[in-house]
Amino acid sequence: MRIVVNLDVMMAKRKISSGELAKKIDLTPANLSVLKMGRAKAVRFSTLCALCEALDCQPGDILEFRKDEEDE
Amino acid sequence: MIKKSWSVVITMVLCGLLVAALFVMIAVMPQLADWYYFTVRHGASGDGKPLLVAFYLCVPGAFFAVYHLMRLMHNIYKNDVFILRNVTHLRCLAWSCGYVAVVTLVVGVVLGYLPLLIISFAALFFCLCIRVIRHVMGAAVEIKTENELTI
Repeated sequence: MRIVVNLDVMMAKRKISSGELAKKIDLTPANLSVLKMGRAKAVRFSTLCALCEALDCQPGDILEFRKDEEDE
Repeated sequence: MIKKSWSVVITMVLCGLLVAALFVMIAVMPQLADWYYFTVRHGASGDGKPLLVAFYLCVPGAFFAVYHLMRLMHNIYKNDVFILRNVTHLRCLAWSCGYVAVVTLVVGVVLGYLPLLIISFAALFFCLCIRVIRHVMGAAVEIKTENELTI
């Protein structure tokens, strides 16, 4: 079981670059990259809130719960 | 109050002095053991051989411990405190203390020499303390990593 971050998909849909988004939500490009690559261990509600506001979407559009094949 | 960096430098200097003391001890230990047995314990010269064996068996453990202690202090001096390498250095320190404890225990039991058994107990106690610190450091490294990866 894992949480998949679909931030790149939403960014492509909204046609927004990483640098632009990082600036908008006041996050460093390095941290945004960590989030985009799925290497983040946790996401703060404040960050999620800012992302949803900047991308005009719901948390579910960015985060997705996926069951591993072994669990099924 | 002593500055943090000065405290680390003092510890590193003490480590250097310990290495120097170890080299001196390696050189003079045979004479020292003979003198101790001859004058203090009133035994024949040469009785100190098992003690010498215990000492020389402990020397590699001591050098190993000092090396890892110096590496640890060097990392702390560079402000790299909560890193996995330091956990490894602490683990090596604990192992070297354990090694000295075992060597002194075996020789102490064989010789029936109480001071060696006390040294063994002290080394075992140090080993235990360092293991506890290692576990704390490991947990701290984990928390730090998690905190760094919280966006």
